[in-house]
Amino acid sequence: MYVPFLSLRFIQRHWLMTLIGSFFVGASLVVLIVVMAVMDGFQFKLKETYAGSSADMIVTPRFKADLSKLDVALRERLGERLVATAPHYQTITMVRREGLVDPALMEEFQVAQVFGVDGAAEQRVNRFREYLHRAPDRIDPMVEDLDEPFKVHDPELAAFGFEGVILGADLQRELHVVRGQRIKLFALVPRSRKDEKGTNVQLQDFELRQRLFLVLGTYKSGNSEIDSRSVFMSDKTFTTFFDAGTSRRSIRAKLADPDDGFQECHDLLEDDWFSLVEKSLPAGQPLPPWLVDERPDAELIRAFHVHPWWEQYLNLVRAIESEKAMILVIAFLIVIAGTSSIFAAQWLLVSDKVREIGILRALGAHVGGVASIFVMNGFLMGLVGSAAGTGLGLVAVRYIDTIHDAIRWVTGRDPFNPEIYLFTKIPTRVDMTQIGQFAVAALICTLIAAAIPAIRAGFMDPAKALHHE
Amino acid sequence: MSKREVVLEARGLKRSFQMGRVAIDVLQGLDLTLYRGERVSIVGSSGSGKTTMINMLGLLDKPDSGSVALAGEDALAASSRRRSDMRNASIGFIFQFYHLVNELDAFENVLLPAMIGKGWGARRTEMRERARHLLDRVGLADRMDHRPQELSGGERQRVAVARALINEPEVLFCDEPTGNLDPRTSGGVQDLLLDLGNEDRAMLLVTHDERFAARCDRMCRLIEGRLEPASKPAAAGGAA
Repeated sequence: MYVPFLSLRFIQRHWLMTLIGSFFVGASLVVLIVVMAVMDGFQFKLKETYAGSSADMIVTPRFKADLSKLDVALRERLGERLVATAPHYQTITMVRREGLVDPALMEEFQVAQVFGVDGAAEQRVNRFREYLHRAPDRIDPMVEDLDEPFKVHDPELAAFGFEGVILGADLQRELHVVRGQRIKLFALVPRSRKDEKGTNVQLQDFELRQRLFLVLGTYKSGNSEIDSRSVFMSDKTFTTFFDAGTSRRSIRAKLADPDDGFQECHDLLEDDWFSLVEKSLPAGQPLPPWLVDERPDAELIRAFHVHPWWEQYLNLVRAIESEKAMILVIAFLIVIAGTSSIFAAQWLLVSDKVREIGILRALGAHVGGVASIFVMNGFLMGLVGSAAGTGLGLVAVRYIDTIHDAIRWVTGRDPFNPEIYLFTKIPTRVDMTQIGQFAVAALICTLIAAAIPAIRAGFMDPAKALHHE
Repeated sequence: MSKREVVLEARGLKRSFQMGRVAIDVLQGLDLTLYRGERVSIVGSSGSGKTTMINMLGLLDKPDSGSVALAGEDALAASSRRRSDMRNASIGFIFQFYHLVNELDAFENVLLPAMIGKGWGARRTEMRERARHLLDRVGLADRMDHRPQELSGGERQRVAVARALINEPEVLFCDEPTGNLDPRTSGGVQDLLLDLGNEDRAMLLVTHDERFAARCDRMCRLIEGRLEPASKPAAAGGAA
C-alpha cells in the first residue's frame, strides 16, 4: 500500500522531473509511430497500387497460345479457386500528342507501357474500375462509360474509325492532353518472324505503324510509376495494332484466396501442365518443337510463367521490407534513448531521496518495497509518456500532410517529394496492434530504465542513508 | 521482586570501520540488557560510537561480532526481510533531525510505519484512529495536515515521537532527540519522551545532555566502545 502512495507523492513533489521523463518517452514514441505508420502506409499503398493494377496470379505462356483457350483450361483446372480471369497484352512503345508540339512545353515523345485489356473482364481481376473512377470530387467522371471504358461514344468519331485509349494520369499531364483530344502511338511490327519450318528467326525487317487514338479518360492508381507510363486500350485494338506475337500475353486471375491461394494454384498447374499446353494451343497448331524434345524432363516453368503480382516487384518489395526493418531498429533506438531520460530522472530522484530511503528502511520497509517505489515512479512516467506519445503519434499520423506542409513552410525544403516517392500524398497506415506493441515495448524499456536506480535505492545501506548529508 | 522481562539483549558487540589503512574499533564488546518498562540513557563524547551502537541495536547495521536478541529472537541470524519486519513491529526510532518524509503531512508521517507493516488493509481504520490519538497526545491535533516544513523543530520532533509509537514497539530508540531543539522546546520533548517511555516498553536514550539522561531509570556511559554504569542522581533498574 505504501508503495503506490509514496510513489505518487514523490511524483507530485517532483512533477517537473516526471514531466521531462515522460516527455522524452512520449516524443520518442511519436517518432516511432509516425515513422512506422508512414513506412507501413508507403508499403501498403505501393502493394495496393501494384496489386491493384496487376492481379493475384498471372499466367504467361511461353509459346503461342490461344488466350481464350488457355482461359478455359485454367478455369477447368483450378475450378472455384479462380474468381475471375482476364486476357492481358502488354508492350512498350512511344507516344506523343497529336499535332505540333512546343518543345518549350514538353518532350515530344514519351515512353509508354501499353496494355491491351478486356474492359469488363479487367475490372473483375483488379482495381481497374476503381482507378478509372477515383475522382469523387469531380463532377465529370474520369471515364465516360465505366462499363465500356474503351467505347467511342461520339458517332462522328466512331464513324471515322477512331478507337479510344485511357491514359495514366501523370502521362496525360505530361502529354498536355485532355479527354476528347488525340494521341499518336507507334508500333514496330516485324514483317516476318518465321522460317519455312515455322521456327523463330532473328527479326530483320520491320514495319513502323503509327495511329491516332482518342483519349477517353484517365487512369489514376495513385502510384506515379504506373500513372506516368500506362496507356490502356481494348485487347482487340491492341492485337490489331501491335504484333501480338512479340507482345507479352497473359491471363490475369483473381483468386478466391488472394493471400495464400497462389501456391496451391501453382502446384495444381504444375501437376498437369502439359495438358494445359495442349488445351491452349490454337486450332491446328502443333506442339512447339522444343516442347516435344524436352517433354520428359520439362517442368511447368518451361511452358508457362506462373507468378503472383509481387514477383515483378520482388526487389522493390524486399527493399522496402529491409528498409522498414532498419528504420524500426533506428526508431526503436530513439525510444531507448527516450526512456533513458527516465533512468536519468530516477537516478536523480534516488540521489535526492537518500535520507527518505534510510527513513523507510528504518521504519521497516523491505529492500523490494523501497525499490518498488522507484520502479513504480518510472512505470508511471513511462505510462504517461506512452499514453501521451501514442495519442500524439496518432494525431501526427492523422495530420501528417498538414505537418509536412508546416515543415516545408518553416524550412523551405520539401521532405516528401511526390516525384521521388511515387505518391502525391504521404501514405500512412495505422496498425493498432503494432502501436500497442510499441507502447508496451516503451513501457518495458522504462521499467528496465527505472529498475537500475530502484535497485540502487533498495540496496542502500540504511544506516548510511539515514545520516546522508 | 518479580522477574523482569528482557526486551533487548546485546552481547559482545564489536564493530570497526576501516578509514584508509587504519581500522577504528568503535564498539569493543558492548553488552546491554533492556527490560520492559525501563528507560536507559547513554551518554558519551562525540565520536564515542553512540550512533553506531544505535544502528547495531536498531538492526540497521550488523556488528562484526556479538549478538542481539529482540524479544528473545536472534536478530542477527534473521534474514534481511525478517530484520525489516522486526524493525517495523518492535522498534521505534526518534532521530535528532526528526527524519520525517517531507512529501507527507504530519498525519501521514505518523501513519507511515503502520502502512509499511503487515495487515495494513485490515487495520487501516484502527491505525488511522490511533494516529489521530497519538498526534492529539503529543499536542498536534490541529496540525495533522501540515507538512514537516510547515512545523517548528519541536513540532516535528513530536510528530517523530508519534510515528515511533504508532506500531506500539517493544523498544524506543531515541538518538539525541533534543539535540536540535532550543532549551524550552527541548524540555517539552523530554517530558513527553519520559512520559511515553514509562509505558509498557523499553526506551534507550542516547544524548549529550546529562541532565536529561539523569532523568532516566538507568544511566550508562559509552567509553572506548563499552558501556559502563554512570553515576546518576536517581538510580533505578539493573546494571548494564
